[in-house]
Amino acid sequence: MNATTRSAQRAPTRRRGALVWLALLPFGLAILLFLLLPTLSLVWGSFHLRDGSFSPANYTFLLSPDQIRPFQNSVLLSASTMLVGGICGLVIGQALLSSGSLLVRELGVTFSSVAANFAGVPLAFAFIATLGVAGLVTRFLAGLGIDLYGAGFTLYSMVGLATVYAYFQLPLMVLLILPALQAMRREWREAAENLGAGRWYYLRRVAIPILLPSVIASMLLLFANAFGAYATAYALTTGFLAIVPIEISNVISGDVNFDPGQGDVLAIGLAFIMAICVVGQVWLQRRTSRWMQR
Amino acid sequence: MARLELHGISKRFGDQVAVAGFDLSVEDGELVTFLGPSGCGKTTTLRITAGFETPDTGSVVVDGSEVTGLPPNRRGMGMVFQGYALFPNMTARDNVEFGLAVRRRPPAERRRRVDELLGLFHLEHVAGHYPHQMSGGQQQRVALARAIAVEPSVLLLDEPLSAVDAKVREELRTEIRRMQGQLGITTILVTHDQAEALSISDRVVVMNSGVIEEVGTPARIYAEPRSAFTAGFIGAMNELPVRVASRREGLVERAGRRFAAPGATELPDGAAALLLVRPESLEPIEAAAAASEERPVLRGRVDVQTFLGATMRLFLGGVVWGAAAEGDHEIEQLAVDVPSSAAGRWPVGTELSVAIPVGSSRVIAARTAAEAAAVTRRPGSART
Amino acid sequence: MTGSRAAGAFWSAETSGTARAGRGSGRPPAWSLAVLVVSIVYFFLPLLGTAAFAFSTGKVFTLEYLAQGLTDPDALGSILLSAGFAVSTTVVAVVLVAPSAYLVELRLPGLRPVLDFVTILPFVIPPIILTLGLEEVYGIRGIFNLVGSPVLLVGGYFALTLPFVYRAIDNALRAVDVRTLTEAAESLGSGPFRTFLRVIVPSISTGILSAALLAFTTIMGEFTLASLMGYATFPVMLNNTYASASREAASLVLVSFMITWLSVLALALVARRSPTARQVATAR
Ligand SMILES: Nc1ncnc2c1ncn2[C@@H]1O[C@H](COP(=O)(O)OP(=O)(O)OP(=O)(O)O)[C@@H](O)[C@H]1O
Ligand SMILES: [Mg+2]
Repeated sequence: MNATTRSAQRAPTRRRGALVWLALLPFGLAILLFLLLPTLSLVWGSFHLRDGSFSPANYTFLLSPDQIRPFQNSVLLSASTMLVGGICGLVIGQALLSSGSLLVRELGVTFSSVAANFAGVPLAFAFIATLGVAGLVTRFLAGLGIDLYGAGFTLYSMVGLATVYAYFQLPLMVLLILPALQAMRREWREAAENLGAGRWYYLRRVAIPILLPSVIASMLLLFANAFGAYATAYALTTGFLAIVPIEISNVISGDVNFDPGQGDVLAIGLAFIMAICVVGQVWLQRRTSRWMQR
Repeated sequence: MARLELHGISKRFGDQVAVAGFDLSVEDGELVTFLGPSGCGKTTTLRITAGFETPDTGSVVVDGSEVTGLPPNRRGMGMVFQGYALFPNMTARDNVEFGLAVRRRPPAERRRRVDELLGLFHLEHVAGHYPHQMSGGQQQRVALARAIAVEPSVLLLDEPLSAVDAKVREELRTEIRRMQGQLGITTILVTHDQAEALSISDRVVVMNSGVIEEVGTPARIYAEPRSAFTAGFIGAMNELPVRVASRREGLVERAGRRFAAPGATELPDGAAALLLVRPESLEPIEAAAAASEERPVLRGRVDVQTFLGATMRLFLGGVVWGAAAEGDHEIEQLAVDVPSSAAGRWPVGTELSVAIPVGSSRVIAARTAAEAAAVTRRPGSART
Repeated sequence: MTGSRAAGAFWSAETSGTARAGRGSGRPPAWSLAVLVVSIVYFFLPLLGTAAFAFSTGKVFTLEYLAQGLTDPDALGSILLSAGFAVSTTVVAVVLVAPSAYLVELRLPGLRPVLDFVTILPFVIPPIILTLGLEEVYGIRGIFNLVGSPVLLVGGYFALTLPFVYRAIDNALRAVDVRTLTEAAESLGSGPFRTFLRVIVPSISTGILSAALLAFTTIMGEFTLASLMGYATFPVMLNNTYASASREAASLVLVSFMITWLSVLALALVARRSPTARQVATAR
């Protein structure tokens, strides 16, 4: 390209640059209006008192015994379903691969996709019909002489909620961890064996170190997934359980016990925990994907 | 080190026969290559030797004791895998140290041995690097060092050089040979690169669809291939269709001419056969020179010249035997190597006559249709 | 509960695990079979419970409740309402995201980190927080009053589905090398609009399709925003009926389950046509 054509093109190019920005405007505006502005509003609100003055005082509210409990409950709920879902999901994922059949693996992925998405109101009701006071399994067990509810179990408790959450946490783990399990190369095990390592030595020195970052990353997502979940908990307990998302929903529906700023602080607290999980996940995932490229 | 014997090894996967009746013994300190087209069972044989697959029949014997039933981690064999298989979570140093750590050698000894090996393979400067931070050649060196670290009785290399580029491949090839010679490890190397096989082995095992086609030194296999398959697989080779004229006298016949050819005595009279001649064996001659029973002559037109360094390969088209009439084209293409310095004498388009010197050709039975297909399928075929 | 959908779709798009055909010889180990059988039972148990509840009163099998559930005008209306929101949001999301992702890929690669950040944000801001934020900005005491306007819900759903809509489309864009395609089209005299509509869109159609399916199914099942903003969408209606007509609701739960199945299968079908879309689909 010679000099004249290049200079002749410069003006249109600049105009084109402006056009590109113009074309991006609707997208940017939508993000600003429906994602960034609400987020900023929460941050702004969390630092302002009812009278509009700036103050971090709202954050002391998070430390009040009343608010510590929902966070404790949420952490407990998320951590337990993360562990149960994570470990079972890992085992199921490996079982799908060990079966050696492509069909089984595909079916497993499909079933997991369905189960991971079958959450919220329908899931809560499905469990009521199954493990509720008059649920199918409850009655079946009663027929065997096992009285679930007599033994202290109830679906409408933290334990019950955790049981329901496990139903979508577990398949989500299968979906998240399967790529990492698939990326484990048979040659690694064989190379280890060839160098004299037994099964346990291979697991300890090779397989677990390679998989651990992916497992932790996936479990962080499970934690976040449970921590932010609202619909299932609400449908199951109609807002009785003190977990963070339900507390926030009470603020939204205009519970007079809450200051707007205090609601914002709750939201920021929740978002903060989500952010830790997400950042951790992204960091770990980067690390492993770097490892995996040959 | 060790002497390795494979007796009657067979293995099938479903109804796919991977290896059938494989017999071989590898002497102490010998380097043997398995050479053959993709899917011919090289890897399977190697994996059976290492203990990753159980053979359907046959046995693996090391130094007189059978190891067929032993798990891989108790065979004391070192293996280098087709795609390195370095542990991605360990540095080069840790990878090399792995086998020593399994064996609970004292730390000081481990460090000394690892340093020694990193030195041997010029890896000191990448000792702390993870596999993803190393080049293909470096990863391959680490894989070799890792396999050798535990002083295996037998070293098994599965296409160790296939994933590195041409220059590194040649370097590493020499390096492997030197290292193997120094340490005297009994070694099997799998490859489908004939140049690699010829350049570094004591003996070459040519394989084809699960069976051994032939075994011999590189020089022997190159000079006197015993089968059409080997001939087609190794080196550039002209294959000229002929017919056995007299088995007793060792004569073959083509275009009304009879001439002597080694190997003809092993085939029945009247059999369709192939006369094999290497491009470098053909001698350019004056057009007037006459053919004789000892020295058959071919004539053709130079179509293409390809520069190979010291020599220039001329591809002749419209090739006929001797001085037969125009139009009597019997051979589509003939490759002739001439010194590059002399190539100017035969620019594209000129006529060239070549003689097949006594003893430089060999007759074998014409290949069956199936064999022909196997050879043409081979990637990068150098056959002319 | 939108989180799990989004998470599945979004995250595993990054780790493209090379599917290695397991060449291991021999039968599958017994433990894996045992694990899979138990998993299958676990998977179907809640459905069995729901079906038993929906299709029978005591010992008699009946489709009465299903028929009642399906013919209830409230139920039909709520399904239509959900579908309306799902379709409009899907259209809005695809129309906003596809050209923008293309332009960023082509002309402003410097914006990528910004977009990566923005599209991760909805994971940090789950639906429940988003609702609070939207209420604050557009609610009764908000800066702009959008109370009662469906625009607010569509906007919220746009934010909710942004991560995987963007990711599905962006993956497809990267897979086809838009720069070369665009330059080829332009060198043949095609203008930017024509290039986008006639060259780029067809070549990323599977990405767009899976993005649309992901968005659609997510919104069909979305409860949080709809219920807190007072829309009687399908999940909200389900929640409201359960107390009064629980057997009808149970049969509708099965309908919702079927919808989930259909969308997963549709995604798998789309994915069959393109490896990039597959990663997204399997991730769900
Ligand atoms: N685990 C297995 N299951 C089924 N078939 C197999 C298995 N392993 C090998 N085969 C088949 O056995 C034959 C020999 O395979 P093998 O890997 O030994 O070939 P190869 O000579 O190493 O080929 P390449 O040069 O491509 O590596 C092939 O046809 C292959 O498809
Ligand atoms: Mg092989």
